[in-house]
Amino acid sequence: MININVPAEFTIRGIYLPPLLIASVIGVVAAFITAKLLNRYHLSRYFFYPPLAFVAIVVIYTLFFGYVLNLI
Amino acid sequence: MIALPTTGQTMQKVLLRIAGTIPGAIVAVIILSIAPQQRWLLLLLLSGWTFFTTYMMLTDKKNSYAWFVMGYVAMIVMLTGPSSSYDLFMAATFRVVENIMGMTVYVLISIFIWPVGNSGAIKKASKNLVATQAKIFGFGFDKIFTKDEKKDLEKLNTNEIQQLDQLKQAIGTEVVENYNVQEVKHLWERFNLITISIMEILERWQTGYEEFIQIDLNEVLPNYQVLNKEINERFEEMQRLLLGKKEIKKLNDISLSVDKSSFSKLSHPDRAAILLEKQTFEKIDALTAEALECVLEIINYSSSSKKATNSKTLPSYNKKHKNSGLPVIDIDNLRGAIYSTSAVVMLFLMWIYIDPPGHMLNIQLAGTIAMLFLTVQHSYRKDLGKFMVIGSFIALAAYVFIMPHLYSFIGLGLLLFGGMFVVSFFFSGAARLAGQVAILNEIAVSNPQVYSFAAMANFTLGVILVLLVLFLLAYIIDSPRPEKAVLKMTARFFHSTEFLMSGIGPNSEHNLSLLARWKKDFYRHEMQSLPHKIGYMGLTINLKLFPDNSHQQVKLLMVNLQALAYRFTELLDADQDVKLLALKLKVNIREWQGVIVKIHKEWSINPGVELTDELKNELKMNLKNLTDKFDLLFEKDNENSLTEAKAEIFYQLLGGLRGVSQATISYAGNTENLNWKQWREEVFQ
Repeated sequence: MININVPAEFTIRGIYLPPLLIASVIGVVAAFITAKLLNRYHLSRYFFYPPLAFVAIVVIYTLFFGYVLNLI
Repeated sequence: MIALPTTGQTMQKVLLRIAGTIPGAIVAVIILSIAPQQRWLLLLLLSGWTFFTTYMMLTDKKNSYAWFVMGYVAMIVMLTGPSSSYDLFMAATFRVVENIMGMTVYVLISIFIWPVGNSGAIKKASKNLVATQAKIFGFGFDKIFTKDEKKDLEKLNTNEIQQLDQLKQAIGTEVVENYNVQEVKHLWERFNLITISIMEILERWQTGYEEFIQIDLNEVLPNYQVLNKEINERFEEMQRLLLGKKEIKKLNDISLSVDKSSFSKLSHPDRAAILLEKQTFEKIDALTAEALECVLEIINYSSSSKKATNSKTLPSYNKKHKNSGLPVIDIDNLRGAIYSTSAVVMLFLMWIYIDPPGHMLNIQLAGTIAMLFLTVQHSYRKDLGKFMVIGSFIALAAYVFIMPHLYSFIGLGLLLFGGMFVVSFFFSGAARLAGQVAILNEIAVSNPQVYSFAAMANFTLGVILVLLVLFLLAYIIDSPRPEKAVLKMTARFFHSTEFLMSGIGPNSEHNLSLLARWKKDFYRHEMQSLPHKIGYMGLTINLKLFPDNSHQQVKLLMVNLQALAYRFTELLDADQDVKLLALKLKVNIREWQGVIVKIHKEWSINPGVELTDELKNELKMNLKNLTDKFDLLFEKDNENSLTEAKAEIFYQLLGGLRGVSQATISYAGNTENLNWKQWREEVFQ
């Protein structure tokens, strides 16, 4: 048998939500926290263009959480 | 959406909405008739209309709301109304009729059931404004004579701007609900324009106090105190008349003569300052006289029911300077129009090639929200976007988990009414608006009531997608971050002063092509409009992220740029005779001009560059050389009996040059404490 990790939907009271939606929501929240921390420690000045960097961080986190959720 | 605190305000908004809805619907029918089956032509026409209405919305402040409605109604009718071009006309007609019906119902409510009048609002707003302008005038006088700086001028200036806005609004609203006021509308509008001119001239006066603070004005201008008393009495009389009291004061014509013996004892630069002061004071004198006459005319008209005979249209100081006669483009408004058009184009392309959740509705949402975003500040946009997402999710949860359990329309009505009440009563600003929009999206009551999770979830995801696109676009077109915008606008200001200064010269107006004159008009508009934009934008800079520069410093920056703009305008508007005189001083003026251009060019690249002592000295030396040259010319011309008029021309030119130099040095001195570097620093916002 081939063992494939198929992404599973989340269900809230019978309503199915795609895993990517959950991953992206967590990704956005995590990116916000990261941005705040980078600002606090004056590390954001090392980025060329923070608005674009923020989008990139959201994508990285979304992929990461998507992968982690898939493992659970 | 049209419910406002008073009946007049509501009726004014209703009129603007109708004025926008009908043309919007007509344009939608025309566009779809031209391009019923051609998507690219449809996109071209739709984006053209969005561009035009957005630009007009930002430019024509008086009818801004009508242009906004014109833009989004066309999109609604075209994209969400008809299922095919077959029922297009019906969709457009229903949109107009339903809107007018809804507005009529609310107008009837606001007139008969819950009337809140606006009676006396114009007089009250005018009285407050005149009182503030009297205080500002008094402040200048005290500062010159008693050196008293205790009064909070900045607060007075802020009040003045707010009261001018209140007066403008009051005229718009009271006129709608009161026939007597409607009859004198033209006089109130005229009064409003005069007060704007008074504000401008008082602003200019404030920036020049320092120039003659060392001079005994009572000696040089013997009537100065008398005229000051007269102007103060005019302000008081206007307030009395606006309170409904009887006329007791007649206008006195007092001329501001110069005492020749005291005047001749002054240095040439001081004489130039005195003549500039005299001109400013004469303008204040003329404007206050005009304002008092206007108030008297309004009061007499109301009491005697006679037709007003005033044939004057605009006070001369309100006339905009245009060399080319062509309309001047405002670059920020143009950028705004590009923003909303790009949003429509992008969502249109996404709909055709990807068809994401929200589908065709996204195009209309993008255009409408983009236009809405352009009327508010970036911080408000962020809040609005955030609350729209939160509101959409809460509304989705209510739609899925609560609404299907309601078994009567009374229950449904109570839920919607309760939601609207909570949002309107407990929240304000962006949260209230987003909440109201979220609830309005749920009021699609039908019999029988059917709930579709897919449709609502689709809509919610569409809203999120549209907001994401709008925020991304805002960063692509131009950074909406206020501190970056202030930096760019300050650089633009100096680019325009550098351009205008390079063009100043005795022959500069001759043989200029239409394009060159239009370019000059454009830079002049930039120079005059940017200080206020910078002040407005600068106050929204997040002090937590950029703690080194206070809002007070931003205001100081604005005041300094404003002073520079006034000085440049004076120099640019100098008479042809002055420019001919400049011919005689050609070499010295070129040297001085070179230094100013050099400094402003540096600031146009980096507004924070400190003025080196070397440059400061060079500027002072050039000005001194010019003054010496003036002395020589004066001595020479004195021998040939210098006329008073010619002497005035000499001083006008010297005053203009001196004013620009001083404003440049003053800008450098006042802004050296600003931490420009911090504003340039990249942070996550």
